[in-house]
Amino acid sequence: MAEQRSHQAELAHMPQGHAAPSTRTYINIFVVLFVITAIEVLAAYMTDIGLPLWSEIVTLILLSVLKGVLVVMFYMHLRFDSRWFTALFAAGFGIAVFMVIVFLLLWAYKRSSGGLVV
Amino acid sequence: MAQAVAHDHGEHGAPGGHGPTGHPPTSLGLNNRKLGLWTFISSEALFFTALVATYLVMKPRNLALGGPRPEDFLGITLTAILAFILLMSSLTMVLAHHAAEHNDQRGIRLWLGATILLGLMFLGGQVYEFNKLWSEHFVTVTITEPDGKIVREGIAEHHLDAELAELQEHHPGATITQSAPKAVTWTTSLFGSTFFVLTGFHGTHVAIGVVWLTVVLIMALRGAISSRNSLTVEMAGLYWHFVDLVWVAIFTLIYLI
Repeated sequence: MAEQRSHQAELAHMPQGHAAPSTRTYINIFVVLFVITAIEVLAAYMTDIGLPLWSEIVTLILLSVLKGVLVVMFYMHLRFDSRWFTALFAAGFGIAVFMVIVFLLLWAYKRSSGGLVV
Repeated sequence: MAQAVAHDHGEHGAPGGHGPTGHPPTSLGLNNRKLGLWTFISSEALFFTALVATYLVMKPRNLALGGPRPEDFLGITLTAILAFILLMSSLTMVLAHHAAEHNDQRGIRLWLGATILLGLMFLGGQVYEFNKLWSEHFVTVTITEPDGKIVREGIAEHHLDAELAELQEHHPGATITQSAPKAVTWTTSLFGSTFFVLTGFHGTHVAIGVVWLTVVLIMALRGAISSRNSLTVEMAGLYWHFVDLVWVAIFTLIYLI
């Protein structure tokens, strides 16, 4: 029975058990997320100082992707967890991003070709 | 007896043993509950993306139909505060999970309680924002050019006088008519419909997360959470972090851009 308990304890940390980061790491990640959010708010005014709209959009999207990656990798532990979970999440997220791009291109094309009556 | 031990302590589904739900482990050696939650999160990513895509696709159409301009009504300050609150809650959530893994009973209760409180603060902020929007109005102005071309503009009621004067200056000879003021609700414009559905669903997810965390907190107060079943806290945490992740996207795509 003791052997069984030991076996169970071992298995509990096997495929999806992870070497959890320390409290300090979590706090450091939070500080980085906070700073990125502050930069995002400032970046929202880039066009007001004469920078082109595309530069503002690209900056904001890159910053939000960076925030998302940090949350998923550290707070959701994907960096330390089974690769299967990463694959599962990436599959859904990848399809989702692809879907947004296709929809935006499709509607932009329909609008520019006069196919969309507004 | 060995089987009973496996049921009592087999929190993680594992090869050769059944988890607490009595289900056999997956052939990948992954925990069933966690695999199920990640599958759910993946499907939720698709769900929210559909709502975000709808908002973005409809944004120019809303403007062409004389709907309200989002920048006239959506403030960055409040939503930046809400983003900060959700980021804070993600930190407290992960600290609750960390405490559970280390069997720190006080930590589990403290950080779960803090996460719930921050979740409620976020919901309060969202209710305030929705109320504010519903109490504001916009007017659809129709400009008919002398050549018969029609252009529509949605103008916030508090900018109306200044913008009407500008329109008359920029469209000499055009006939300008205006609709009665309409509240910014989910039935008066494409902006309202897509915005309230998207942020409303997100708020609903936050509310569900608060209920879930409250259940886990009650379990913790009864001493039912320890390092042996820290997965219970981790599951709630994964869902909570995903809700935060959705706000990261909404904050950028809806409020900042």
